[in-house]
Amino acid sequence: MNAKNEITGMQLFFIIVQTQIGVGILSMPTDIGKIAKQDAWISMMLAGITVQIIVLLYMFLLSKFPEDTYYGMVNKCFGSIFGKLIMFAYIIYFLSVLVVSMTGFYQIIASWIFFETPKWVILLLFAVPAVYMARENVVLLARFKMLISFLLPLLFVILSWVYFHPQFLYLLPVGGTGTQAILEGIKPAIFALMGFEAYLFFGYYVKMNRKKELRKAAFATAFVTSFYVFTIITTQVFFYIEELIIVPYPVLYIMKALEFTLLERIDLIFLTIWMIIALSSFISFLFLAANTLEQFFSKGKHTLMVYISIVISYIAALLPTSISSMDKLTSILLSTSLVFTAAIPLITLLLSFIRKLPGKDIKS
Amino acid sequence: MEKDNKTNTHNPDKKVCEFDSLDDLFSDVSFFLGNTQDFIRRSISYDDGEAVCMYIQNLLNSNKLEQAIEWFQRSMWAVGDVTHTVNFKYVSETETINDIGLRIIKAEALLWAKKDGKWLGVSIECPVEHYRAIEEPKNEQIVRGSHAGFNESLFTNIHQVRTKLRTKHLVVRYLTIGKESNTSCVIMYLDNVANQMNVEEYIMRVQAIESDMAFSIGYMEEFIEDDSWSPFPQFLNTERPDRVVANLSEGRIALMMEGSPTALLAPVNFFSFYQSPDDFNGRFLVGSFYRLLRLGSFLIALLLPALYIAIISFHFEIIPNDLSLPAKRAVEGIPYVPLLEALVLELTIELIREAGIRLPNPIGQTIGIVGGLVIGDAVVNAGLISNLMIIVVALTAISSFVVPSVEMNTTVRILRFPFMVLASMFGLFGIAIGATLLTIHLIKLESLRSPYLSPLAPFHWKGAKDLFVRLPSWKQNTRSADASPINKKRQGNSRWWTHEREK
Repeated sequence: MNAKNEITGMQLFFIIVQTQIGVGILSMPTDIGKIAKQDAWISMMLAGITVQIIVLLYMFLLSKFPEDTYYGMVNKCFGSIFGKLIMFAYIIYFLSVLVVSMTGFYQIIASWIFFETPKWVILLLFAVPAVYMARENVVLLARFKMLISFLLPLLFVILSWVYFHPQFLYLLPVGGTGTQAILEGIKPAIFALMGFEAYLFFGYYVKMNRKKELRKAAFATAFVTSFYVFTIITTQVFFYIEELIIVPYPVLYIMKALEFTLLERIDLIFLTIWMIIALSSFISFLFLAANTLEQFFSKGKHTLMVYISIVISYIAALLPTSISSMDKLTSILLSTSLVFTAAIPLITLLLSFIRKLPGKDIKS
Repeated sequence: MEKDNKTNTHNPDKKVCEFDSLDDLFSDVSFFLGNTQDFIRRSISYDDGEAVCMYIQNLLNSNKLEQAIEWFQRSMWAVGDVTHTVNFKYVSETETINDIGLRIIKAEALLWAKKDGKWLGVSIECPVEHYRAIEEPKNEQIVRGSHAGFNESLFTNIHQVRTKLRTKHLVVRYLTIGKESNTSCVIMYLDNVANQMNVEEYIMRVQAIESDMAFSIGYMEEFIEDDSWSPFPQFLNTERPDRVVANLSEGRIALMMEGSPTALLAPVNFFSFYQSPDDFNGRFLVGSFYRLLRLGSFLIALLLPALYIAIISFHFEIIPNDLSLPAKRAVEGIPYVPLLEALVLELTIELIREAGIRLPNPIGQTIGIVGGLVIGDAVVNAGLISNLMIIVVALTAISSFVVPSVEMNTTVRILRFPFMVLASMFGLFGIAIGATLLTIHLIKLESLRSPYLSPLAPFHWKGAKDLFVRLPSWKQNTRSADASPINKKRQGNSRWWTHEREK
């Protein structure tokens, strides 16, 4: 019962959901809307299907190497020298994800509630609970994710308020922006779905009924995609598309406009809930960064690695002063992220076929 | 030579059969007990000769002892032997001074006689029983149901549990803690439900206690709890036999101690602190309603002052239009920041509470009235504190007393201070960070190696039947998983006749 380092498929499901829904959800409708206009939800769905295919690839990889962590697979397929290099690249990748999400978090907080509070204070408040959680083992992490997931229905309920006065006409004409625009919209949509790589890393910890449980968890992306599609449609039936493009955080603006008898500014409540969910996503990446470091140094202690990763990313997040340089880093990260989430796993899989590694098929 | 002899006489490992005379034996035992003056020697003559009865005066009931000695004399005269009875036991002559001393400390009277060159030892048990009557515990009163409570006698406490659970599966294990006080403790569990791993763990922890004395069960709790730095209690304290029995049948384990009317139950989860026997005595709708109310009171007691501070000092715009003017009027002209207002008032309430506990009842009420009404009214009139703040603090205080467990109650009252500070610094953001930290802490916390937030994290559907709401008793056919019982099934279908009637 107290077995360390073993999670169920359901827990993996929520880990992935909570990793995917992060800082991005507030700006995501605008980002996609800029390109795909009123058909942003179609782009999101297509992106969801793409990601689902990548997740299937992960599932295949995981069942081929049931006893290895992802880095174990990489080492087996690429050899230990290349393996180390790739691991190092992953460390850089995760650390920059940490930096980017910290900065994104700060930007929203600074532009919405705390205009004057220094950056280091807000980031510190963000980092402390993250470290407190991420230094624990994966079982506790999974429990945390599961508990936090009870906040998602709350977001859903608050958003549903829009449907008292929806303008479905704003969604028309369906497909009117053309195939080109819709396909281009897939790119920012996939970035909004980033975090699905958690499947690859946390899938290792699913040990009981591995195949069945892994299959269960694969629906996490579908769940997140449908949540995002819902969010996009909600923003679009509220804002006309021309408005939506100007508004940076459409979800928050919707909340600000809605009025309740008990509370006036529901957006502040929404932002508070979002904060916890963003923190939860950040915790996953912090855990992964520490985990990667741990395996990179073979015998690293997890707690120490968490401290190292948070210190590096905290300092790095404080360094860039201008927003434009941060945006540049974000765009670089986004365009390289597909290398880490799709390309390297795919090459690993191909190499494992070419080198004919004895992949065990588990039957339990 | 003489020196050697002396050390020899006071050797605590010397056996009784090595002594020559009754006087030597008595003086050695007396020396072992530090020549204490309440150690009594009574010489008794019986049929065959002389015997000596030794005991500690204050531990024994002298009437009963007198009867027992009479019985001894008579049976020695008639039969030349004594039979074993409940109170009479033969003591082997190979026992050492050490053993004898311990027996005497544990309220036995020892009769020693020398017969045909052999030692005859009899132990007589007749302890004094000066205990409180069985009455309802003052801090856990309920409306309906049993009004019995534990008292300070371990004997009657076990009796109360036994009479409620007449099963062969109820196991009572005696342990002794306290190197000097030698307090006897019991661990009780149902061996067909409780997980043996938990039982072993509990016993191991109790046995590991290296304390010289066992002051009370609350004192022992600190030795055995999982995380002493946590503000949350990890063992459930209760003085109610019905609560203990209900928990035992869930697979939990109870520790009781001589001299404490409290049972220490583990492994428990957060939600067991919010259950009261009243939930189960009433019907399920009512029980569920009050359960929800109590859990809501947890949030109110924890967060309401913090939310108030956050809203007044950071997010005034969150107040709806119609309320904003009255709110502004109330807050205006108050010279202090909301945090200070809240702290002063909260601390005043804590003062009133602390003062009220120690004072006799009539004065305690007066303190409540003076503290609550007079200070509350005067402080608003003087313009020191806004009347909204009074409402908030009063509501918080009431909510914090709703918890049916004293320890959880104090936890909640202490925890709201950090939340207030966080709220005054970072508003809602600070509260969210505090709440996250608290959640993470609760997730990490364990009670006897079982997760503290059990039916919620890790999540079990089946455990949720008795979580926020209480489903009807006949629906709760499985035991909750947090105590990891070995036998999950609690009961079968008791209401098969509902279908029977339809036929």
